[in-house]
Amino acid sequence: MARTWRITLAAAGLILVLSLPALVESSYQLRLANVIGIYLLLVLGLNFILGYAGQLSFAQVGFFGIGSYAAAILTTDHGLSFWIGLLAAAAVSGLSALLIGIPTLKLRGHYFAFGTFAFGEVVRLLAVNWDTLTHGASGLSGIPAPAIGGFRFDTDASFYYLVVFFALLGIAVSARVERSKIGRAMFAIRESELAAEAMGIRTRQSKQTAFTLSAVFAGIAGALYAPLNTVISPDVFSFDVSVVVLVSLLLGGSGIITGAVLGTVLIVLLPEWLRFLDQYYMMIYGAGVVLLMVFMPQGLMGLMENLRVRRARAHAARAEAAPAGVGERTDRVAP
Amino acid sequence: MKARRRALLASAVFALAFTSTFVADVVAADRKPIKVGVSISLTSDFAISGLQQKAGIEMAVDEINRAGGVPGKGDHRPIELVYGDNAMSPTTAVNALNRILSADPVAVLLSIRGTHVLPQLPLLQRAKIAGLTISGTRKITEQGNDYVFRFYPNDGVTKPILTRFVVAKLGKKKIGVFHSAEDYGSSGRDEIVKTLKELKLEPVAVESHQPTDKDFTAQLQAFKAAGAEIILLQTFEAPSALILKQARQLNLGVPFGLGVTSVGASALKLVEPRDIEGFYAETGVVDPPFSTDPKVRAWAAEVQKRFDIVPDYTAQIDYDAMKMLAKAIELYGPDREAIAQGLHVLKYRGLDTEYQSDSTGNMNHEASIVQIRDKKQIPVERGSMPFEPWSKQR
Amino acid sequence: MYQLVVNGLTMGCIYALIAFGFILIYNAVGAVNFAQGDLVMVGSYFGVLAVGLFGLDPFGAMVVVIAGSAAAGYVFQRLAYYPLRDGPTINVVISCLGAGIFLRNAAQNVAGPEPYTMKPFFGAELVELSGLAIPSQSIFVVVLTVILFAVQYWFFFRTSLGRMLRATANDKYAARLAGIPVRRMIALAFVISSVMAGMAGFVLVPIFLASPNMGFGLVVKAWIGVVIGGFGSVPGAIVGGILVGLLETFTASLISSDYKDVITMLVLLAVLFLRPQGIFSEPVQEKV
Repeated sequence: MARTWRITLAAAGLILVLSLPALVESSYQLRLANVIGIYLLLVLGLNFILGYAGQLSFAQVGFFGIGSYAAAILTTDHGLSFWIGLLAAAAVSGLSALLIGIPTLKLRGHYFAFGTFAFGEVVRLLAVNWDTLTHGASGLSGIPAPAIGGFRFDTDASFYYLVVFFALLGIAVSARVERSKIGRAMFAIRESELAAEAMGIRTRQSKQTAFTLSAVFAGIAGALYAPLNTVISPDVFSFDVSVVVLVSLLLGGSGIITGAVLGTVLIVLLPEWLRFLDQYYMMIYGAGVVLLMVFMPQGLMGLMENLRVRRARAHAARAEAAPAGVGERTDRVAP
Repeated sequence: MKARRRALLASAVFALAFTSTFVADVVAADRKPIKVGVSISLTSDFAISGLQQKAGIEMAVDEINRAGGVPGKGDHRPIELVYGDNAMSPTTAVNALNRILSADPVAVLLSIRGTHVLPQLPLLQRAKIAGLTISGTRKITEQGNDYVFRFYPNDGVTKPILTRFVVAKLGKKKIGVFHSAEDYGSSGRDEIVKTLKELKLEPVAVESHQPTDKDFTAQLQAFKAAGAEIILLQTFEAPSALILKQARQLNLGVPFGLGVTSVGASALKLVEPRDIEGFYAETGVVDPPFSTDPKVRAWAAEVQKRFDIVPDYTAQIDYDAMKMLAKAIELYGPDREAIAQGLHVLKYRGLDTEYQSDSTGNMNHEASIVQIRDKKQIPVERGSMPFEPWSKQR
Repeated sequence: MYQLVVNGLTMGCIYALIAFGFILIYNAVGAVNFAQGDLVMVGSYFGVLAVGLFGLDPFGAMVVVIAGSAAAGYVFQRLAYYPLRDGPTINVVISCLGAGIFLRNAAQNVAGPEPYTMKPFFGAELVELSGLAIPSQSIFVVVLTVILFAVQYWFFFRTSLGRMLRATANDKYAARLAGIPVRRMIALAFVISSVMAGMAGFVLVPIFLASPNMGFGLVVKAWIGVVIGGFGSVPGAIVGGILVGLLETFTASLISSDYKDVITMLVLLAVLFLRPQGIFSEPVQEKV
């Protein structure tokens, strides 16, 4: 019963997502949707390394920047197609993760976090200073829209479908990894790296896989961001982006795909809903992050899970109080 | 199993959350006022200039609305401003403009920050709406965009005037160029170097700094070592103040030729008189409190009284831009395309400046040289660059 | 050349003060405080308030800064750390991140986005010392830093309160068993840390202006100092901070002012890769 209900809900949701451009009146709202989709890829990426493998990383913005610049430079300065740019973005980001991962992943918690932070800053600083490649502080403008054959994704609606495609792909890949042996290895590392090692899990490799996945996702996000904005410049790729991605994941629920989606949607839309707060919004946002950690560190999905568990427990307690009927199991729900 | 279920649920959540954006979209029912968008920095470090823009624009709108509004067919219609906050990043600026556009304005006033205006240009083109900016970054009018109008003289006007003044009137031959490592700074550097080349000169040293840098000792000493007789500075208010301070502390002994961002009211607040005494600067228009025209000085006093801010060139030019826009609306009607076409051909006299579009949307072709004495701008010279007026066949 | 040393030393002292406060919190609660730079900003704003609004002289203003920073530090730990004290440290890290965002924007809303400046504390701008022109503010910074660290040393090693604080930083649980009021010690650690940050911010203003977002750039350099010096080590933080100040200045001058930040970051990465424990190795062991 619950399963059919969920499938219907999911199907309805999917139909809604796919028909959004027809329902929505302003390109502004579609643009928000596009931003959500791109950020979702960043957050899903972080979900691998932080949500599954439990390593705090600030590198997402670095990979985002690498992907964005790779795609932008190839499509704008060299006239190559968006798809080549996309491939290059994913490849270069992934490669960077491998390179950076080798020395950093053997570092402990806060060292690793610092290392990823430094990486993000180095990427930004290189974008500013290496002007022969990146056009320096002015950045690249006139980034062309993606195209397949004669069809160009140059309207908000068409681009939206492109973004939706990748977002759904990202969700599918995340779900696949979550269920797989690799995913389970990551979870084990999150619980206790020492214990995981003892159990025979190749922790370095698993962490590297998570890190590389996070980078590829971020690279693709970057390749999509460049034509969406038509302009990229180094100041876009600041530490703040990594913070927003982090907060989105935590708000929704770290380690949970639905959480990543929920958190991203909220973080992008909240400033819109709270426009009336004007310049006080950021203050409240900061305070909100503190409150989030104090009252809801497991995020919204985690909270829902807790409630579900508590309800199940209460249900089980009630069932225990009543005598078991014929055919009913007495050893009921395991929370 | 759990993962797939969750993944499906994710899509549902994804979709459901969107419907809530419909709720957020406020519908402005009243059609009577004419809506004009304003996409500037109301928060973050860039708010320093954003607030000046706001003061100038609102001063103009106040005046217009107090007279009943913009005269049109039969009646007057008041102007209603629709604000969007660019904050610091270009992405926020693009979002802000998108949001403004969904309120259906007839034209938009844009930020002074070039990095915000550049990504907004394709939006203007697509929405066929005129965007009026006061940014000096040259690239803005080099994108082939028919809908952008720049009310501040770009670097191609101001930098040559300053450079030629420094070489001809001050007699300096060994010139150093110090700029901030981004759009505005490098644009200025390029124009200076180009002008020097025309004068058969080359800079003795070119140094740059990050916008967030605080210590400039290394670069300043490089200029000294290269034997610079003057340093032409192209950077924002805060770094400029620090550079001037540190130059004096180091006893550098080399004067500066400054850009307008170094000598506007908010910039002067950050320096001590001896940091900047006697230096010359270029500016599109002299800061209103120091204008030679008493009408402008009176205007400045009025702004200060009304908005509690000492207006600088930003406020004055945005005031002019808003007034010119109102004129265009009056003459051509509150229609996007008509206004955009109209601005190409309209000639307008602002508080102290003549505005007329050239072939790429530059409206302002004058610049002044001022000298700073006792932290006041003393007008020294005024010049203009020749230009090709906009014409249909281009 | 000597100019570079003076400048490098000045900045180094400021980074050292910030790094010291940062390590104090890290040792006490095991969390990286991303808002340390914003506590620096708070101190500088108290200073601007004291001098600009109340017209106090530098020493009077210092009292205000110390009091204000101490209060800020106390409130900070009460709201951002205390409720999370029993949970995983990553939650504290993120909570501090949020608190920093709050502080920055609160400052911007209250005081405006424009930077503030102050005259150097002592009349004469430059002081002649054996033929060199040294900014008086730099001398003040270095002297103040020496005094502050001397006071710290005396406090931590010669007073019982200081010993209790050290014990808490070393091993919270053992300290609690020994009857030390751990909660109060941690609060004290935050207060001291905040005061050091605030002093750094205060002496900075005449040199570098005060603005709401000033903290980030500073704290990044302090972190590099902490890693170079050895995470968790107090002398490491001090030495590291000074080294970073000197590194920055010399790199800018001798190699390239454009790439100085990149180089400093790369040095951080190099240290992390080659000798993560820094100069003075971290005393805390990996908890099993």
